[in-house]
Amino acid sequence: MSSKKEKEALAQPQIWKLDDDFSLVKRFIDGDESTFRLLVQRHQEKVRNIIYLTLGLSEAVDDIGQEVFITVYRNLKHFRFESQFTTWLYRITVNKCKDYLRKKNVRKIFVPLKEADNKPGNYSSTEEKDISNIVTNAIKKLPYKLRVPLLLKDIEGFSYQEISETMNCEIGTVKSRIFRARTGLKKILEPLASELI
Amino acid sequence: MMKKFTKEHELLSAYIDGELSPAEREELEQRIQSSLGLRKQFEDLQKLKKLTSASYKKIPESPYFETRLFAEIDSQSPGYIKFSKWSPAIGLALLTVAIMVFLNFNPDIIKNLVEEQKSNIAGFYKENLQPLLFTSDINNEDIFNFAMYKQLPLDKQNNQYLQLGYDQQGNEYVEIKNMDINKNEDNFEKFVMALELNQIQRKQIDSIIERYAEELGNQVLVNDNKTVAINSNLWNYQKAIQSDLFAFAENSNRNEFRKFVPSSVSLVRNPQMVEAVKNIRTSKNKNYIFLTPDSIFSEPLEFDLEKFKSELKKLEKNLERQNSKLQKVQVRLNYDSTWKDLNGKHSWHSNYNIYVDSNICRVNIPHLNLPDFQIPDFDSLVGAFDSVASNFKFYSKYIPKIEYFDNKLNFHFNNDSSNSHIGIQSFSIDMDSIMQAQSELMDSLSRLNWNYHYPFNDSLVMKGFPNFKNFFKYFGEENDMKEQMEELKKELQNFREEMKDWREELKQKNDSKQKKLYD
Repeated sequence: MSSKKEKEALAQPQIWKLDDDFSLVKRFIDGDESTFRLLVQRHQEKVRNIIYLTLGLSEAVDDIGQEVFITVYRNLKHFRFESQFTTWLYRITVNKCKDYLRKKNVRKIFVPLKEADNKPGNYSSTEEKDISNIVTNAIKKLPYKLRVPLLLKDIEGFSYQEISETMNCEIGTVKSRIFRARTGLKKILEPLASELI
Repeated sequence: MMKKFTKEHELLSAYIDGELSPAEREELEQRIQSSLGLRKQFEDLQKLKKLTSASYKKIPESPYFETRLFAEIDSQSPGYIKFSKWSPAIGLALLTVAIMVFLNFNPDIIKNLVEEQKSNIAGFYKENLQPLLFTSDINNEDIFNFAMYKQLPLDKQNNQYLQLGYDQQGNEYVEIKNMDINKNEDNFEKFVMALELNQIQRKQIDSIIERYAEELGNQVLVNDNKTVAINSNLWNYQKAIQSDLFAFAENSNRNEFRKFVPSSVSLVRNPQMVEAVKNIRTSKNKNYIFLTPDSIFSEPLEFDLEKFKSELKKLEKNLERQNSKLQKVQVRLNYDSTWKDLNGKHSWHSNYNIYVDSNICRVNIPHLNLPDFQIPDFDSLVGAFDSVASNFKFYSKYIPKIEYFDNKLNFHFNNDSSNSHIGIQSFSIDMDSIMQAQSELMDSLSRLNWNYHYPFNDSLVMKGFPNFKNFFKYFGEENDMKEQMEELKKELQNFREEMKDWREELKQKNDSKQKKLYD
């Protein structure tokens, strides 16, 4: 009898709030495209920050942010409600960043060596005076696969579960990558350990 | 050993992230408490996490992010973004293809639209159409001129006429033109005079003309939108009136009729013509040619003349009560302004070729569907009719209408008293003075030697009065004058006979005198 009640409880439809993401997406699918503006207003800050953290650049943030939301707009009618809307949104964001970096790396092949060497990380002594800059530049030296989970965790406060869904990998992998990122960051910052750590 | 060490540090990393299960957390906390190295590692990781968290500031808000995004979305249709710069051309091409496909499956749509517009325009010009015979003062002379010369007055004051005709190919045309027609022609009166019709016959021909005048009522309609609507049966009506008049003329006075109509033309014993005239008059042809300032087109029109008349009577009665009169529609068409734009164009159906100049608007109608006017050899009759129409006047002993007023004899050359007339001082015929003059003449003659003179010719008396014979005709309509003239004729006849006797007597006397001299 009790198992029957549990089944009935499970079978009951999920009650969404009028303004939660799923409700807005559903209304959009039903033809009310004005809800997309609410979704943009609600999530644009997070999306722009993820881009900024992932790339370490501020100038491309808005362009990539536009691409992210246009992709969402075009595909929102096919959203299957199998994950959180934000998970889907952040995955698109991270993928857009990856695309951007891939294209940038291709372009870098054709850049003269001296110019290419002058990359972030080879910071001058004036930059080192600012601890934030030191740490930021140190994080930028981390590989993409390690840097992004670390920043999503420490800056954006994502859970390992959310990071795994966003980056389309296992939770264990996220845990390992974050640890390795911290280990690598510690090594980079070791010369300044007395001041920093 | 190394692997276990790494595993513990990884757990520490997850621990400071709050990602361990309660059991893992409890176990690790115990180890941290018991291991200095592990505690040191834990503290380092905590500091590093704080450094990392503090190293990035949130990116400033972009005030135009949302505006730019929705402008981009609005300007780009999903799936067609790459084609944006070609979108106007693609759109136009697609629209063209769509229209072609649509028209392919709906070929009548354009035609229907055009027809709808046509019908709107036609409706406008069909409003308030009235018979021309009501709107202008058309009399029997006008109907006669229509029968003979195919012309009807639209605006008499401005000499504007409707002229029917046939071009060299025999196709019908209609003209609206200004013609300086001599109003004193009085053709109908001349026709009547040429036939020397008596009073009864005159009434009959008047009746024929009046009957046709009434029937022509719904053949030409006009309104104040400068529209002239001509029933396509009008060409036949003209033939019918002409044929009917000639048939009546032949029947009434064959001798006079034959003076100006070839003997080959006989309408009296022509049952086919009688039948054709009957058919024309009973035809309910609804096809009208509309001459409007915008266009010239052919449309069916249902015009109920009887209904129009009855409504007109009601209206007139109402107006009488209000001491007002019905105002007649005046049709005035200016060729240079009214029809300027039509010049050289074709009408809707491309059937009508239109020519306009400063004095005429001519519409050629190559394919006019006329009801048949089936008379064998009518074409040859038409030629004869035309020659009759132009030469019957020469056979007319035309007497203008004469009236005596204010010691004057007025000779009116038209029934309309407003037209020109000649007035001469009245004269009286004093029979005594005539006889006195004649006796004096005879006396003088008697004193002359007749051998040296021509014999007396009494026709000299008649020559003293130019066109005297015509005056008799006129006086024949005035009983008093007629009686006087008859008396005069009798007196003159008696006088002539007396003169003859007298001449014989004189001759005998002269003969006897000469005989005595010789004896």
